[in-house]
Amino acid sequence: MQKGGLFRLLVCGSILSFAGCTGSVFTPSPILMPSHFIEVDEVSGIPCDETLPVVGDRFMPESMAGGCVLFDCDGDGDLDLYRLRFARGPNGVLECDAGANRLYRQDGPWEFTDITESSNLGDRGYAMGAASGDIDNDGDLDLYIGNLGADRLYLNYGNGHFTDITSEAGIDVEGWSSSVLFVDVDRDGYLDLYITRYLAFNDKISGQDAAGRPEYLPPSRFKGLDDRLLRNNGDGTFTDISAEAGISGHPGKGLGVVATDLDGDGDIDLYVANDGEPNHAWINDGAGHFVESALTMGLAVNLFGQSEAGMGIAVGDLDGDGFDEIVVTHLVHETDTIYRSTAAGHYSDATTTFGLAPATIDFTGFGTALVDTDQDGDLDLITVHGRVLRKSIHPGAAGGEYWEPYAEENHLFLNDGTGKLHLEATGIGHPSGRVEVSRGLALGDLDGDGDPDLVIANADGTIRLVRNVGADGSWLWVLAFDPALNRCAIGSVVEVEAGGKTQRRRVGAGGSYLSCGDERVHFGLGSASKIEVIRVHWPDGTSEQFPVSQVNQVVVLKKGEGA
Amino acid sequence: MKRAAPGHLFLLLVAISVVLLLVWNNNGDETSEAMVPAIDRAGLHPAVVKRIDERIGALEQSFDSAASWGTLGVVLDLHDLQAPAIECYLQAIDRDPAQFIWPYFAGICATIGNRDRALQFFATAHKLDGDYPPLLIRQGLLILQGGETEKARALFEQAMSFDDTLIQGHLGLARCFMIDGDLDSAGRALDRCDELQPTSGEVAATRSMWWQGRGDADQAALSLEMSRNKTPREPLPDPLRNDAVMSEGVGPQWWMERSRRLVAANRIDAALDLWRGALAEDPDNPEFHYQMARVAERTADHKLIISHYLAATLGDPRMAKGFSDFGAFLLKIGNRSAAEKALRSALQLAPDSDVVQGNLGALLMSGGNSEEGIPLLEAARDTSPGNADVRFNLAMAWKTIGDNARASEEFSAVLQLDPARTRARFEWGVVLAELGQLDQAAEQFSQIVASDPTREAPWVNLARAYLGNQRYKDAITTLRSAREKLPKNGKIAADLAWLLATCPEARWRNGAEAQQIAVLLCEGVGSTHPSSFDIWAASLAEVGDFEGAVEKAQQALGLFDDNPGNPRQRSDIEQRLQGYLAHKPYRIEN
Repeated sequence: MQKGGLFRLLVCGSILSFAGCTGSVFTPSPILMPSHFIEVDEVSGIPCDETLPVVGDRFMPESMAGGCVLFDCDGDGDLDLYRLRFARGPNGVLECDAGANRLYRQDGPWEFTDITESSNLGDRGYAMGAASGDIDNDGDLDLYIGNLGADRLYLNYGNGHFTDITSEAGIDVEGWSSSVLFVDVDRDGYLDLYITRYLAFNDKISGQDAAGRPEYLPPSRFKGLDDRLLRNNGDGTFTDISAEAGISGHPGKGLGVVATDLDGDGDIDLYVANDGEPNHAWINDGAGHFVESALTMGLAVNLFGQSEAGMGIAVGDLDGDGFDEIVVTHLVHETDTIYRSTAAGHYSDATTTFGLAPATIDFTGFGTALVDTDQDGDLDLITVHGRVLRKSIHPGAAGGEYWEPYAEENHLFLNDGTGKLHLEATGIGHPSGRVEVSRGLALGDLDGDGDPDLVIANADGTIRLVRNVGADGSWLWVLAFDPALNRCAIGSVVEVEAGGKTQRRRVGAGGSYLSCGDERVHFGLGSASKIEVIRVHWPDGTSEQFPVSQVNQVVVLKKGEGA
Repeated sequence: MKRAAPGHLFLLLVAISVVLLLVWNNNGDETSEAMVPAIDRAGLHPAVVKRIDERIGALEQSFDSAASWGTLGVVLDLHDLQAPAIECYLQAIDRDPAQFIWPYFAGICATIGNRDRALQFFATAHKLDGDYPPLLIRQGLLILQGGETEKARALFEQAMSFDDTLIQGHLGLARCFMIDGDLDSAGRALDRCDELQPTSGEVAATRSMWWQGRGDADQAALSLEMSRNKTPREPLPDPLRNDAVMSEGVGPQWWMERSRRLVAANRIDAALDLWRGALAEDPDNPEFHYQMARVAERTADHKLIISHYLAATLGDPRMAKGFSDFGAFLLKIGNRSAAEKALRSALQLAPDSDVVQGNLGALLMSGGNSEEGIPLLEAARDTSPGNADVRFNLAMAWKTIGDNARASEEFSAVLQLDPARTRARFEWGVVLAELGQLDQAAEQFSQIVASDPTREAPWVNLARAYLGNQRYKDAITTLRSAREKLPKNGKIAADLAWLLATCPEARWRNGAEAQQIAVLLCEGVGSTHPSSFDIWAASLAEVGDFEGAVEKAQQALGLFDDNPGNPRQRSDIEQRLQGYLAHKPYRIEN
C-alpha cells in the first residue's frame, strides 16, 4: 500500500469541493460578536466555569438538570442568584456535598458574594427545579426546591437566612420533580405549590447509541408521573390536594409549567409541557379544582396530533392581539411550537405562521422566555439549547470531551412587530463563540440599567450571566404588590398603554425550564416618552389605574392605592 | 443520473468497491486523494469498530473509489458518527458526481440536526434522479416542516404518481391540506391512509387533529387515545436505505433492526443466522439470547425457543421482558404452570407492566382464579386505558364471573377504541341480551352480519334478539337473509323452520315452508337430532296434520334412547306431543 499518496491530494483541497452543497459541514463559522446578549466573563464572586463531576455512564438526570433562580433573597432590592447543582456521591447517592446548591448575593452589577453557608441554602439534593415565593406572606421570598429524591422547602427569615421546613410543612414529595411554581389556585391569599413531575426513573436501566456507546435514555423507556398540587394551609403547612383537585391520575412527563388564564374566565389555570406525552391544560373552576382540557383547547399536541418532547414554556402576547400565545420548546427534529389563542379557550398550532419552524427544527430547546429584549414594544423570544443525544460537534462547542457533542448555540428571535419572529444569527452568546449545553434560563435586570439580562444554567454545572446590550427603547419594571397580603400579587395582570400600544404582562406566570426569574414584570416601550395608562387587574377581579407616566423606572403599584 | 434498480444498487456499489480493491492489488500504483476522517472509536461496540476498520481497509487501497468512500460513509452514518460520515459522503460525491445514492444518503444523514444541509443534499440527489419516491417523500417532509405546503404537496403528489400505496405520501398530503385549512381534502387523504394501514398511530394522531378542526372534541380525544396503541411511526419503504442497513448495520441496535426487518420479510432463517452470528461473538449475552428466542418463536422449534428464553432469563434474572415473553410463549403452547411461574417473575420485576398484568390476569382467569385475575386485569386497564386487548380481556373476565353490567361497560370501551373488533362486538351483544337490552344487542349483531355475513352465530343471535322482543317479522327476515348467505347451514334452517311453524302471530307463520325445511333437514341432510324431528312435528301440526305431528314427535323422543341429550328438551317434546294428541299446534312463548 502506498501511504505516501495520502498527503499529496490533501493539498489539492478537493475535500471541501462539492457542487450543490456549499462547503463542508465542518467548516467553522466565523465568530461574530453577539449583538444583543453577551455572556459576561467579569462576574466576581461566582465561579461560573465550575463544572459538576460526571461519572461517564450517561446518567439520564444529569442531561436534564440545570436550573437557577433569580430572586431578592435579602430584600435589598437587587436580584440574587440561586444556583441549582446536581451531582452523585459515592455509590450513586443523590445527596452529597458535590451537589450542594449555592446562593450568591448581589453586591452590585456583576458582583456577588457566595452566602451559601450563612444562608443555609446549600441543599445537598440532586436539584432539578426551584422557585421562590412568599409562602407565609411575611414580605420575603421563600424557596422550594424540586429534587431527584426528596424535595425541600426553605423558609426565609427575611435577612437572607433560610431554614429547612420541609417536614414541619408536611411536605413529602419524592421521586423526580422538575419545574416548580408558586400560585394561589384557590384565591385564599396564600401561595400554593404546583410541582411538575417527570418520570419514574430507574438507574438500573442503561442506554446505548447505534454504535454501542453509552447514551442518555429516552423518556419513552419510563413511565410518567402525576404532578403534585400542594395547598398552602396558611399556617406554614401544606396539604397534598393533587387527588381532590383533579390533578392525580393523569401521569405525564412534566418539565415546564406556566400559570395563566387559559380559558379567559378570570381565574388561574395551569399549562404543563410534557416530554413525549400530550401536554396538560389544567382548567381551574375558580376554587382550585381542575379539569384536564388540553386536547379540547388545542394545546395537547401539535398540528399533526403528535405529542412532542415538551421542555420549557413561555407565555405572552406575541402579535399584540390581546390574547396570549404559548411557546413550548422541543427536541431536535421537532419544531418549537407556538400555540396561538384564537378565542378564549381555543388555541391552534401556529408555529409556521410565526416563522418559528425552520429555525428551531435543528435544535433541542429547554429554557425559554418571551420578553421585549430590545424594548421596542413587542415580545421577543429567547430559547436556550443543548442536545440530549450526541451529534456532530458544533463549532465552538465547550464542555470538554464529555459535553461537546451535546453543545448547541442559544437563540434570540426578534419580533418584527407583527408577531413574526426572526432569528438573530448573533443574538446571544459569548464573544469567543463558545457554545454549551444549556438548560435553565432566568430573567431579570442584573445590572440595573433597565433592560432584562439573563442567567443561563448549563448541564455541565457551569452558569452564564448574560448582559443585554441590544436594548434601545424606554422601559418600565412593575412590581404589583398587595399590601393586604404583604407580597407580590401573583396572578395579577399589569396593563400598560404607551406609544399607541397596549401591553399586558401576567405576574408570576412562571415558565422557562427548571428556573425562576424576577417577580417584577418588564415592559419595553419603544420610543414612548411617557406612559398613558397603567392598570392592574388584581387576582380578585378588581382593577385599578395608577398615576404613573414616567418611563425608565421601577415602580411598585400597591393594591388599593390606585383609582 | 446513475441509479440501478432500487434494492440492488447499494450491494452493487459495495461489490464495485471490492472489485476495485482487487484491481488495485494487481496494479499497486493507485493514488489516494484524501485522508480518512478522524473517527473516535472510544466506546464503540467491537463489531462496529471491526466493520469500520474493514471499510477503511478497502478505502485505503482504493482512494479513487466513490463506492469505497460512500460505503465507509454508510457505516459511520448508521452508527451515529454523522460528522465523519458526511465527510465520506462528500468524498464519494466528489469522485462520482453523477451517482444518486451518495447525496441521497448524505441528505438522510443530515436530516436530524441540519435541515438546510439535508435539503441541499436532497436537491442534488433530485437533480440526478427525481423519480425515487422515498427521496421525494423525505424532501417533502423537510419542506413541510418549514411550512412550504405548496412545494411539499407537489413532492408528495409526485411520489405517489410512482407509488400510490406510500402511506407517508398520503399522510404528507393530509398535513399540507390541514396547514392550509382544507379539511375536506385532508380527510380524503387520511381516508386513503386508513385504507392502506388501519393500524397506524401516526394516521390516528393526525386524524385526531382533523376531528379537532371539525370541532368534534370527543372524536379527537378518541383518535388520539387510539393512536397511542398503534404503530407510532409509519416506516418509509426505501429499498436503497434498506440494503445499506442490511449490509452495513452492525452492533446490537442494528442487529435488532435488521432482525426486525428480516422477520417482517418472513426471512426467519436469515434472522436466526444473524443472532447466531451475534452469539458466536458474545455467547453469554442475555439480550442476544432473548432476541434469538423471539425470532425462534416464528418457527415450530420449541426446544430452540425455550433454550434461548432460559439462557436469557438465567443470564439476566432481572430481564422482565424475557420472563414476560417466555411466559406468554409457554401459555401459547399450553404449559400453564410454567407460564404462570414465568409471568409471576415478570410481574415482580415489572409490576406496572400492562402486558404482564394482562397476560397473567388472563392466565389466572382462564384457570378460574378470578380473585387474583380480575385485579390484575383491572390494573392493566388502569395502566393502559387505551389498550383494547387489555380491556377485552377484562370484559371477558367480568362476563365469565357473570358481572354483565361491568362486562358491558368494558366491551363498550373496547369498541370505542377499536370498532372493527368483531369478537368484542359479538360478546357485547351476548352480554346486552343477557342484561335484557335486546334492541342494543340486536344492533351489535346486525353490525356484525353486515360486515361479515358468513358466520352463523351472529345471525342466530340477531334473530333471537328480535324474537325476544316479539319482533317476529324481523326475526324471520333475518333468518331468511341468513339462509341466503349460508344455505347449507342446518342451525339457521332449523331456527327458521321452527319460527315459521310456531310463531305466535299467525301472519308470520308458514307451516308448509317450515315442513319443507324440516324434511330437508331430516331426510335430505339426514339429521338424527331429536330437535329436527321436533321441528318437523311442529310444522305438521301447524298445517293441521296432527297424526303426522304425533308420529314425528314420537320419532324425536325415540332418538333420545340412543342419545340421552337434554332432559329438558325431552320433556318439552313430550309436552308438545300431548298437545298434538289434543290437536293443538305448538306456539312459542316469550
